[in-house]
Amino acid sequence: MLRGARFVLVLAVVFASAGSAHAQQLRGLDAYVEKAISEWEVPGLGLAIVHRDSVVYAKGFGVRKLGSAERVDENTMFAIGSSSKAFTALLLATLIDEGRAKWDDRVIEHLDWFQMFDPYVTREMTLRDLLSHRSGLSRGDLLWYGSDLTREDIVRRVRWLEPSWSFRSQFGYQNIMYLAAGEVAEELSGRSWDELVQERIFAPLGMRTSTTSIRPLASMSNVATPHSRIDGKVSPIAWRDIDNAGPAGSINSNVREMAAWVRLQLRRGEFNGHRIVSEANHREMWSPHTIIQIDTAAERLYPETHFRTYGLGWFLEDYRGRRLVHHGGNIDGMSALVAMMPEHDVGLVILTNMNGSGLPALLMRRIFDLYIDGPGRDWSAEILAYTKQRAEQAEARQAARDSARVRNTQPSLALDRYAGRYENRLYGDVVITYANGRLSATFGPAFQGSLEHWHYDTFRARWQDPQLGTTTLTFALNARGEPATLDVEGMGEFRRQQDTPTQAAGGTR
Amino acid sequence: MAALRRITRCAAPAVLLLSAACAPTLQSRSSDPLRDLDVLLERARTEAAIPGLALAIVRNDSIIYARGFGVREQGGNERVDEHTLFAIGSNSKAFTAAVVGKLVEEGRMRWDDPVTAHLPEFRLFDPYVTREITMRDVLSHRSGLGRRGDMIWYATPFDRAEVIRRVRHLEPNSSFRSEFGYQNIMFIAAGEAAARAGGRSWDELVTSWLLQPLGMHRSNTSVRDLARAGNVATPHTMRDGRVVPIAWRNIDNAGPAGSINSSVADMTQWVRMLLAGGELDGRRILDEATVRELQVPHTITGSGIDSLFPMRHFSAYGLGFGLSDYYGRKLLMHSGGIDGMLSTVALLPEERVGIVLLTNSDAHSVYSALPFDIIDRLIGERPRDLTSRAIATDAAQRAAAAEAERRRAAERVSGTRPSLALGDYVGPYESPLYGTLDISLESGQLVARRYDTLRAPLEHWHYNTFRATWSDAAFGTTLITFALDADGTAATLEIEGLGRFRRVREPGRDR
Repeated sequence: MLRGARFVLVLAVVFASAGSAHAQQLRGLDAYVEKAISEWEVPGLGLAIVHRDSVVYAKGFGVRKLGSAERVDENTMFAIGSSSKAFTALLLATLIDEGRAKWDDRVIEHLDWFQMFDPYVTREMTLRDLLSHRSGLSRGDLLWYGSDLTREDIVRRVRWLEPSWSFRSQFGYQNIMYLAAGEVAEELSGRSWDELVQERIFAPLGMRTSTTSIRPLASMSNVATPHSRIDGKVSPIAWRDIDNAGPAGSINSNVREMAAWVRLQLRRGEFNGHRIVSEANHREMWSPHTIIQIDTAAERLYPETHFRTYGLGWFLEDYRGRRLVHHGGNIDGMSALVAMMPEHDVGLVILTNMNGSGLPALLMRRIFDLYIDGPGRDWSAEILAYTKQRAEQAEARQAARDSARVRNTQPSLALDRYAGRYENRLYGDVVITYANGRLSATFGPAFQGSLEHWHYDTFRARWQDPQLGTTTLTFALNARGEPATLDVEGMGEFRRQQDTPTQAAGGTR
Repeated sequence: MAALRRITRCAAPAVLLLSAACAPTLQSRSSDPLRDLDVLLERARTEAAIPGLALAIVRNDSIIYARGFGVREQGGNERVDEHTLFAIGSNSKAFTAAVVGKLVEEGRMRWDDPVTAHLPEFRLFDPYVTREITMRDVLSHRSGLGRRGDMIWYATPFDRAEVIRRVRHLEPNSSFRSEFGYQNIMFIAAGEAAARAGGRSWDELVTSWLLQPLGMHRSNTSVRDLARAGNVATPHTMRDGRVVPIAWRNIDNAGPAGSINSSVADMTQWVRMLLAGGELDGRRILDEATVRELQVPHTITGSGIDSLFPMRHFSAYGLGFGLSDYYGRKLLMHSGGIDGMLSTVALLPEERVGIVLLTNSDAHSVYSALPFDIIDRLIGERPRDLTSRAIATDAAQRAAAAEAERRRAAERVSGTRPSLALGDYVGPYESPLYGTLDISLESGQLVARRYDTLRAPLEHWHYNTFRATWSDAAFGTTLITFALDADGTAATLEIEGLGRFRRVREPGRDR
């Protein structure tokens, strides 16, 4: 599902050091960023650099919204997306500091209703596992993305999510496990995850405007608008409410406040002499837990890196003989990155209002190179070329898929006979309705669209929200010639329910 | 158990930790990195009391150094040279991984195949783990069994199949794939699975697919083959503060985990092939993809953080190699150790550099330090003389071990007696893991026997504990404690480090 939807809360990257000569060290950086945001078509960007516990750079580039004149500055609010994961990991670390749990505690000791697909995994899954993307599960993001399920509902549903890989056999980015970690934190403290972030992190760091939900943004004035490429053109889109995925990625902030978070990290859990988390548990978060395989293409592109791993809420890798600690965040229309190079006591925050941009990761390398020994590879130019090449390959693949459409076929049945409620125990219902000679599909509150016949019994749904793209749906008939199942691209099989009204609008999940 | 302690240390994986015992002696950088190498090696050999060692260095596909130092046997005058055969111990593990790689190349196996697809009888303690464990898992020390079970194969009459059959009784000591735990028996399983898929023994597969095409004509997979090879080093260990020759140990039943014997000259062929992505002198031995698979991380072995190695950030296990970053380069390293022999193989693929170090003593940690001092010379980093540091550390550790032994003797409670008459302890005792220990009474003294390989008179220590002094000196002395059941019958015995053996009651002869 959602070929076009870039919703995956993900990754990012890394960092540098030197003396007090920042003006000299960072000379040319403004111009580099200006050029890069234009080349990468990023409407607006905030950048802060922390060195030796001081904010040595904090600045905005571009605009909050395309077509408007309002400039981004160091106080402009953006979504940090999955960079929120380190906040969730740190909350657990503080609870562990208090003796309320241990990293190797089994999840079921704290959430007795927690259940994974496989009983062995249910029994063995630890807090460490929740935070290190080795559950064996991929996918499942449509449980929360655009859905009205609560965090607890989502975690309770995960028992129906079949593993994609054997438990702990490989890295597999998993947002729902972070929701489970948030549930554990709530269970241990009796406070909501949002309250914990507020009380244990935002307040002591002086992050006064930062939030764990988009709701308070409405009353703020300096807020970036998300952008995405729609039909080839970078356009403003709506903010997405992902409160139900909070512990995996719902924090919003600006680079000035996020610089305090970076200072806390680089001081190993201390901020202005005040200890937030013990050094020992901070070290756990920066210790490798899961290996991420580097493919041969990446090996050639980034010979500076030999190991990529995940700690607890952080990616860890080597870069030019130094350790990088970093995490990106991508949610609809926003790309963020928090990154540190501890050996040079330097860190940075990059927040942008462009969907799925590769720029933050490259800018990080550029800036860390400055701290290592001055300008190195022209990362922006090199990777832009590579990214364009990859985009062309993806387009070619899409074209090949499109050309695989078989001409001159007909659906097996009259269209109205496909209407009905189709159920999947993990995701809930997809409701197919028939009106005015057309089929439509509805899934949860966000996915509504009309079906275009593709070939045979396969249709393509074009969702009303352009950010959601298109999804291929295939019906299969049973021996009696009735539609029995619906296969939804990226989600799996939904079974038709006999009870179903054919004109239903919407549906429960 | 002394032997257990020793092989634990010997077969230590890849990245070895040295404690910071003394300040490093800094050496000046010379234009020729190998100028002082002869002096360095001979000094290390002498100071660490190693009878003989051999070292070879490969760079840019050429052998730029290959030399032996010292003698094959203490007190003899036969010199070690680059063709002298040593046991490479756990450096055999990469050969086993390469054999699996060949089977993958031929489509007879996949890295992610469950082991049971090839060895249907293979069982581990937990059914889920039995079902899920793959070839990749058994080659990367993440089974959850930890570094245990070695006494199933070490000095036992069990063959490989029997060793593997018994491992099902070994309870995991960490959750599956949750942490690194060095596991020899999983490599034996890998070798047996390969033999099944390849239709020939592991020994034949290694010989025909690797040793022969690489021209490693003096190398073999068993001590049985050494008899007809000349120029063989004698193993040495330390007894009562002196380095003495000992017998070669037959570890055929652990072959895929460590039974290969080779010389530094032969090993350079293997190293050149690995550094050239699978080719040797224009002939392809392994696919590039196979060589890469051995060198990519599979299991995290630690935080990577060590004050003695500030240039290192990550340490992991590939398939048969330990991996780390070292001054911004990838370093592959593995050590090998079995009775009387210690070795190291180290590769820096980006520098096209490889090192093989073979020694005929197991009473030193020079093997783990010296390669770093050589690598630093080759890549232009400041040498830190980790070798001298290791030698100093060894001395301190020996002193600490002797002190621990003295403390233990002092803990003996005097004036106690066994609960039962000695004859009442007699009988066979069994462990599903380790097999049978027979207790008999001979001339008024209890004697323990483990098959026909081990015998120990039991001296009363205190209460129901006895001290066994084993016929094979590698096992040293061990405390054995009997426990009585509610009837007052000797029901179990516990061997320190091995666990509990249950007395076998003969039917109808219960008291």
